[in-house]
Amino acid sequence: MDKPYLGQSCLEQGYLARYLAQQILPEIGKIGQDKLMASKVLVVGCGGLAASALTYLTAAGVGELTLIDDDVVELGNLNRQILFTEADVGQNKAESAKLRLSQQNQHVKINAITQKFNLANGLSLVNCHDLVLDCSDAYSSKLAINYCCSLTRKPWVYASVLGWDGQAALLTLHNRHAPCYKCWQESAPHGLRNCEANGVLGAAVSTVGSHQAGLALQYLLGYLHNANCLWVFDLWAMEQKKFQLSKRHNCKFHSDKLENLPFCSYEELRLWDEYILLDIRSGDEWDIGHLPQARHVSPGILMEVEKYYKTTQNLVIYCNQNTLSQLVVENLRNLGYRAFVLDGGYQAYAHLAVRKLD
Amino acid sequence: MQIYFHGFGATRILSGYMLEIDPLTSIAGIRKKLMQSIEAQEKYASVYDILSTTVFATEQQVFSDEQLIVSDTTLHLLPPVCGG
Repeated sequence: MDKPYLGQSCLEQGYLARYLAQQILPEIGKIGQDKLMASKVLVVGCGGLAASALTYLTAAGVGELTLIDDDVVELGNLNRQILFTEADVGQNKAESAKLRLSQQNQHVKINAITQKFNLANGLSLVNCHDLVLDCSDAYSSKLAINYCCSLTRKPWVYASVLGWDGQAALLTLHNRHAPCYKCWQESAPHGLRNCEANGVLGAAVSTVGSHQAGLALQYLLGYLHNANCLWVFDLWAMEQKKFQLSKRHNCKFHSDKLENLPFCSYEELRLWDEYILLDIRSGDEWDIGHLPQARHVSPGILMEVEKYYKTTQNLVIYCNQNTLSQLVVENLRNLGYRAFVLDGGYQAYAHLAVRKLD
Repeated sequence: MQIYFHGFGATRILSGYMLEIDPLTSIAGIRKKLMQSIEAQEKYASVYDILSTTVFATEQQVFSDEQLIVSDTTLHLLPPVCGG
């Protein structure tokens, strides 16, 4: 690798010095470092796994990290959640982690969201990041991540720990042949299988979190040789094994094609006898302005669509530019619904919108 | 055929356990046989319920419930974990 030269700015030389040790690795180099610095990673959960994973992603110079967690630091977390100190007890985990990581590397942009990750906020968050890290501690959160990543075709790094054991997997859901979480973990774990109920060793959490960071960095650098494998760690026996995962043919979480989705224009709708126009943008966007006759729903409506709509109804979906609405319509059609994408999305018809000031 | 088990985590106690099973039995069938086999044994009480959602794998590959096992092998037991 080239050494700093006189014409380089202090900033460039600072970058070089900071990342020199990893940049001299033949698998990284200047091109790889640039890739890392241009990457955006969403991290769901800021507990034990995130402590290790985030530390290494921040140190490696990943460009932007978004942390989401609604939980607060408790004294009982400190055996494994090593980003936090006693002074952080009672503080939001995402905010505290942001503070700590910002001190670690000022060049990394860090965003903190003090909410629980769910289907309502998840789709748009996942959609604007390159990769998602699952550092959550609940099966429901892992399902929500899997669902959002399946819909938006984004890769994610799953990880879990319990006792002396852990698991991790890079699931490349941008590849239609890749397995998702539900392909191998078909049903919910029996009973409470979390750290509070069953105990956990800090070193096990740290091992899995570091492995998760390694998988994430490999993906961001463009290496997929460890993708779609389940890594299992047993710190009691001091062993680890790697198992190949494959897509389950009857997994409902996969969508195989986006082609041939039915679009309709707002003008066409006037010719239809019945339809339901659904706005899946954020609540704030809806408040600012929305199309006449539209109803506001979360993209998460998909999870319980049968409660609200019949398969015989015409459901017309729009978001801003139809990025998410196409995915939602595709999934609704897979579920047997008569769903349509509003051609052009909200932006094409913003001039017709009902606005707050109107 | 002989199926040996190797357990991770909560199923570690089943490491070395062996069952004699008919060839061409599915993972679902093996899971059921294993659960029936340990049901009456008190020392396995803690792991019985976990087996219903435990993932089975051979040396290289995670298997779904429909997968058939055709000959002697070792199956790894990967219990669900959700902590973070």
